[in-house]
Amino acid sequence: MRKMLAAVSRVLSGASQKPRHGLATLPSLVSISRLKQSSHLGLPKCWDYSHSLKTRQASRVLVASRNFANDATFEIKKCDLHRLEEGPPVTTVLTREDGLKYYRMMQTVRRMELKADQLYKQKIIRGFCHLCDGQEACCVGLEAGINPTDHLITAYRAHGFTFTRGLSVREILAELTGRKGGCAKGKGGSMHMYAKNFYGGNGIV
Amino acid sequence: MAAVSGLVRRPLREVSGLLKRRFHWTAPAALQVTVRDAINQGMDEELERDEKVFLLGEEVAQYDGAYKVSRGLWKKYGDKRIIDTPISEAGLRPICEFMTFNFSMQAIDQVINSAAKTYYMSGGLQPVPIVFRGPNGASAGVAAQHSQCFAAWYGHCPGLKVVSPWNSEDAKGLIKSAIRDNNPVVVLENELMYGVPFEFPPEAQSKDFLIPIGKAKIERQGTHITVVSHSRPVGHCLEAAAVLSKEGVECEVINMRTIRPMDMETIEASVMKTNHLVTVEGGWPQFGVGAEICARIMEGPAFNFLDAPAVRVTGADVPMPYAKILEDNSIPQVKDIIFAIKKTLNI
Repeated sequence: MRKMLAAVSRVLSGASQKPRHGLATLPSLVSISRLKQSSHLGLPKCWDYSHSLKTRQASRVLVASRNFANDATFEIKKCDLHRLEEGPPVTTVLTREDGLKYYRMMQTVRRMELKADQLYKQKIIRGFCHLCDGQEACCVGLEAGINPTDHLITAYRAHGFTFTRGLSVREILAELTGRKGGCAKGKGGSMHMYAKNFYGGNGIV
Repeated sequence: MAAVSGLVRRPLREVSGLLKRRFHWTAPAALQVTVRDAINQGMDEELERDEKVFLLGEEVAQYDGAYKVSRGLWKKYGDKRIIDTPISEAGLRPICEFMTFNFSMQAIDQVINSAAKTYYMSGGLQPVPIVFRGPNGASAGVAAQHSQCFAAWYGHCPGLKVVSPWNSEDAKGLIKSAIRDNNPVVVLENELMYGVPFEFPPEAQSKDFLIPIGKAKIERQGTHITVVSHSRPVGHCLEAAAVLSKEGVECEVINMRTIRPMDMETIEASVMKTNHLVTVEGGWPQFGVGAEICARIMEGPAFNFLDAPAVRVTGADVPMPYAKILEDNSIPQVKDIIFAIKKTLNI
């Protein structure tokens, strides 16, 4: 117990130093995000890490001291091919870094949608509000498979895609509540959110 | 039985009054019916009257209709007459419900090219007795793609009849006339009016109550100015007229009821009496219903009776914004109608 606490205090004091590998992978993830707002992981810049950082760091060090695998291999069903020599790969590797990144994105979308649900029930959001809590993996998984320069269009269940395409939760919620700070200046609403290389949000399908 | 259950529910002081009541009681003289119920009643009566009439559209059957307008009809008439997906068959008289007329743009090729033009193109051989109905125009907070008014778009096409009811009486009479008409008729209802109750006169409760298509109604008599409108803005015009009558201005409010064929005789007669004209609509200004009324007034005898140019009050010329403050200011409000009337009358 005392050794673990010593490890915790070492990590906490070394939070602003250069990250070490191996055991300290997880805490370094936290510390770098705190400094550079997670640009090296490609995560959106809006996330605020500052509150309860130390308690989370501590619990993460304790967790990281166990032996979890760093990646997982998944099998993908083989596609039928038509006039092609090679198809897409049949196995894929999900690294721990990516897994955590996707999980964080999905959790953020989930929290955002639950909040939007609450606001809708309070009639602060008007008109239509098509939520994707429960379907976050669709937008996160899709974004993982494409590049930011690819073009994306979707139907009316657009909040998750708007987030994964790079807009902040603040901009999305401001748009839902009809404020100037929203991504469409409050003029579009739930179904008409646009971002770079993202063409909404379409109501008529 | 009613007295017993009444005793249980009502407070003690009313019991003595209750004991004096008889069991049988007559219906109240002024029946209040919402627009939704009036349309439901009209469709129910027509489905009963003619077995060739059937209803199809999104969610009209088991869900009782997206706005509950077809509530109870599926239970009463079953799968063969109330259908959730469209089928094309000969000799039948379909009522096609659109969840909103914005979705009709997906089917507009069929509405115009297959329905509206067929009777003419076939030289009178192939009539198309179909009714397209559904909510039209702005609702509350549904933003750009769900708030467009299609009165001008459909009113533009020869071969179609276009009606736009305002209150329950209009709704029932017009839907019945539309179903009995052998031409394609577009019935532009309004979602915000569905739940509004109106007084239902006794003649409207009859199964053969029809409002002729192509006839407008003068909702309020007046002498100073003619205000012409259709659908929900008629209510706003009446409110504006009530405010202005306190200032001594008597407005004649005309409820168009039909967009195509437009009842110009009523409007011209009114303008010749009052010498001033204001048109009010929820749709966009350019090429709108108001523009058509003004053009026809100019072409007809009423032009010589105008003392001032006619003024149009319309929705703002933008796609409907989502934010409430912007949306409220994008549709004609009572204050806009009052402003236009005062401007025309130069007061």
